[in-house]
Amino acid sequence: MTINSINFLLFFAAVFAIYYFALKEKTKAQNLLLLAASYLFYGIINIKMVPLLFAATLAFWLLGFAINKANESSEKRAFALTAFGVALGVGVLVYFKYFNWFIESIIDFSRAIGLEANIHTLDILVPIGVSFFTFKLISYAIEIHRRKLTPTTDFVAFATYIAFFPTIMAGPIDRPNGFLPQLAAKRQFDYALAVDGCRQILWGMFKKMVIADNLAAYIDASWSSIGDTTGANLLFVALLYPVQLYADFSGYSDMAIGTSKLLGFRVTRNFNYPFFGRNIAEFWRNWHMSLTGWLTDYVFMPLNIAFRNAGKLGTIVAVTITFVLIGLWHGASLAYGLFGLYHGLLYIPMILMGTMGKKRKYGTSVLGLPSLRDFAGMAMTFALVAFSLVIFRAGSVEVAWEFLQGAVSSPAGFFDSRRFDLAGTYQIRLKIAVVLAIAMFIAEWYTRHYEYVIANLGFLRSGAARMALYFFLLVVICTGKYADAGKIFIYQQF
Amino acid sequence: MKQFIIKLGIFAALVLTVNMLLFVAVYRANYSNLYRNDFEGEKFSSFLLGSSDAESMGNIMEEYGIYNYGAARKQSYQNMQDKLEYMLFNKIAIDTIYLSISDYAISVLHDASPDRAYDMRIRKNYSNSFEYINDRYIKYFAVLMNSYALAGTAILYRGTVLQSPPPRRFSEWSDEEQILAVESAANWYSARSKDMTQALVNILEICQENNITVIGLKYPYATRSVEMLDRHGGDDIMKQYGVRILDYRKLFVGHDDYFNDQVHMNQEGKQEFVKVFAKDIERFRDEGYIK
Repeated sequence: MTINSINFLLFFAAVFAIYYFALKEKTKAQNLLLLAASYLFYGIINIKMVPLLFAATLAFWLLGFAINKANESSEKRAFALTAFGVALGVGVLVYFKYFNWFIESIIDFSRAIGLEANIHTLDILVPIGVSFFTFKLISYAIEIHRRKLTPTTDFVAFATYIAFFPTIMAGPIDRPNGFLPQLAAKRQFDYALAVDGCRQILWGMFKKMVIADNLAAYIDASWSSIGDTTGANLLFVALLYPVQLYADFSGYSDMAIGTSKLLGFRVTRNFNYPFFGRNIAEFWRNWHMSLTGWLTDYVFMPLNIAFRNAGKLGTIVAVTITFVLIGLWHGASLAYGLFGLYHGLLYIPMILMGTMGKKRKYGTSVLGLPSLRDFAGMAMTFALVAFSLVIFRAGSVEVAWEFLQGAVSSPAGFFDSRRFDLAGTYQIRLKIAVVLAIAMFIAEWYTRHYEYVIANLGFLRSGAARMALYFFLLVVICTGKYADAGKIFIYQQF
Repeated sequence: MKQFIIKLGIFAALVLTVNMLLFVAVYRANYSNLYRNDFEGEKFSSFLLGSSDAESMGNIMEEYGIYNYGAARKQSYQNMQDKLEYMLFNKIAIDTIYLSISDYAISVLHDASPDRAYDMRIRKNYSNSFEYINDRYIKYFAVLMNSYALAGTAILYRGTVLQSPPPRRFSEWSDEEQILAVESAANWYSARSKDMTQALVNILEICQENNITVIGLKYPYATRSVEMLDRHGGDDIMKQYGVRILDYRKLFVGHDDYFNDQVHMNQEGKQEFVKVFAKDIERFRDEGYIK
């Protein structure tokens, strides 16, 4: 059951009705309903993983009290307990996501040096959303240790925070400091927030189902026939993939945030128009913000402080480690590690020049468009990101290398029309997606001060006009979407 | 809350109204002319299943006791399986199935665009009721959410609205037009789909279980298609099941005047083809291979 499916719509309608009509203003009962709905939602995806989610939640809830108590008596003990919590969270992540990779790496290494390792990989099923809920658990322990949060005595509220169904599959990764107080507060139906949520869901569906999925058809087909397609086509695919990934993940995030708003929750923002970033630092400040913010607070800042005596070199090391972790967070493979390392290295010139954290206003030219200098910066950043996403999309160094070799093939083969041209098969969908993606970026530029493109419809004074716009968008989604079933969200696999 | 519910209700009513209008259009285009409604008094026991190659044959084979069930523009092996199972579910006695060997019917293109035979879905083929209800009722009735049905319907109506000129014979096409057309046909088949391959296997197994004879059919190609399209759909799978194959691809080499395009015959071509086909059917009957 994905968040953009009919099944989810029916499921959510039932939750919404009970939440506001039957349990009106009964906060505890509402939380219990959200918890039950979240576990049901998670159980429908994979019932076997529910005990793990529950056990991890219970363990961290109890750990929170222990850390808080130790904070009063012994800093060492509090630190040790927090470290245990971090190790436990990371351990869960490592076991499910990285264990087999470690074993395979040991086997490969042993073979390379002529030995036969007598170890085997395990048949491990990776729980959906494990990378997201373990980060929530870890942040709960750390925030208590930092004395920025007192442990909640309300287990239902805590478990709801961890398993909150709109965000459990692929985030955003909310911090306990922002979310738990919302669970404790009385929640009445907020008309403005609900309308805002509906609009955001609609906009998210448009990005995911019309732009991302239509691009995916062409991109997936090209990736599965690297040897049969031209270099020009592969370069085009490399430039399209960042757009697909952005439309897919930010579309999902909009739907998750919008759904949360309908239930009266304000969830942390995940994207802030990252492709308007004029350098890699601006890009990462606005891309998957809940993850980068998490790693900045819990990894980069402590490392930067620890290495502060080493000056700029210390910052370079801290940034590089953080980005390698960002890469590896996506999965256990050398490719993801290299993806992170590449981005870490791109920061070095900015660190050396002291421009990493600087914020600069956009210069505008005719019709409010970005200035040439800013546009050049955006284009350069986009190209650098697109290059790195080749290895990200490939998932392995070998496949990425094959792709890059194909993309820079000999001039004769570069535009060879005799080679299989996928554009023929997916021509209409590709054209629709590219035109709409360009329209999306233009609309985003002019509305970049808002959370999403159709957040502010103040210029449409009549309610009928707004409804006509919603209906038009819905028709575009329904008629332009890729398939009946829809494709899964890319970040669901992480 | 009241205001929100009222506005949501108005919006839902608007969506439902448009959906209802679209449903009428989709129904007329996709479902109303299906054979399933009456099975023509069950007078046929041989059926033609296939993609556009079979569909374009119209009712020309009825004279030989074969009902064209390739109608209603269903073009994947999954769809053919649905039709076969639907007929068996309705207790239609089937002796012989003439099954297209089609690159297109087995292509991955159908993975993204499942066919439109939602009205033929049978509960026993689903592991749970949710999936069955989703396929049989939601996709069938909620056409606004079914982009494939909408796109298919738009294509069908476009021909009526735009009143396109009658097709030219393929022999009248320029070299460049012919090459482009055949290259385009090559793109209909980008790779073999696992699901469609499984559907073909299912068809063959269902036929074995029900003592239905299967005959594989490769329809004639225009000359340039014979030269440039060297693909074989699922004939390797059919051979594993001992299916006899009638390969007519080269039947009309040099006779491009029998074709409307690179692979579809015109009326004249169909009449010539049926004469040859009838002789082969007669031979199979004489051999006792079919009834």
